Amino acid sequence: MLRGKFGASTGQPLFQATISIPKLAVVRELSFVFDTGADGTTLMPTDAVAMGIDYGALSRGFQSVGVGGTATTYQEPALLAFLSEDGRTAYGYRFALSIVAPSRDAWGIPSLLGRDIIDRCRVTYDRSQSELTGEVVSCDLQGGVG
Amino acid sequence: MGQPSFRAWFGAEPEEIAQSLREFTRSCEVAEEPGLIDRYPEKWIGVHNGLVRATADELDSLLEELDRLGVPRRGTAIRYITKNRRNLILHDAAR
Repeated sequence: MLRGKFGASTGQPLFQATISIPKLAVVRELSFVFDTGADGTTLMPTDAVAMGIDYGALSRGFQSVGVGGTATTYQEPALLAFLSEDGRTAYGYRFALSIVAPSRDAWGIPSLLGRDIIDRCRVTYDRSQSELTGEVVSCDLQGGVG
Repeated sequence: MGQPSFRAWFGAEPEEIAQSLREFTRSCEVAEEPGLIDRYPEKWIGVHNGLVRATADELDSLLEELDRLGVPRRGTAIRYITKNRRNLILHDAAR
């Protein structure tokens, strides 16, 4: 079982995970907003810049569409690792990460956990009980924490 | 990416990944504390090992300050503290 948390200030549903982008040799811990409206897990500019992402090294960009308009986006193979609630199991996922190019309006926006990962969990979202959990239905890698 | 293993994927064993995630999660919780708005209004902050290590007006300045102080970017929760919260409607439709 994965456990997320509602941000005490923002109220945003958040999951923390370790992300790896092999092409860029980058591994970081990130906080993601649980977003069922996102087709795919997305790295936003604040996190990308903090990680030292070299946008020039990314694959050809395309346009992503959101409520606020379009954004230049890149896509790279990536990996995510989550820790189970009891701290005994790590779960790994392979996926295509969307990386949004910096823009004036995008600063401060958190990175998104999208349906590419969410669809592989059975999620309980109960704000009234401050419960945000994800039962792992499938994953690509699983390992015991000694 | 070779044989799937946490070492191959993340350069670390599950134990190390777990430890890093636990520490980072704690820093994220600190970065969400409601009282921060009184101490750091309209500031970027970096929280590492559960403590606010740096603050700045701009993200670039914050990152420079973290680097200057020797605070690892990895494991640091970065957040912009503001009273003027935007109403976020986050939707990303990939091609």
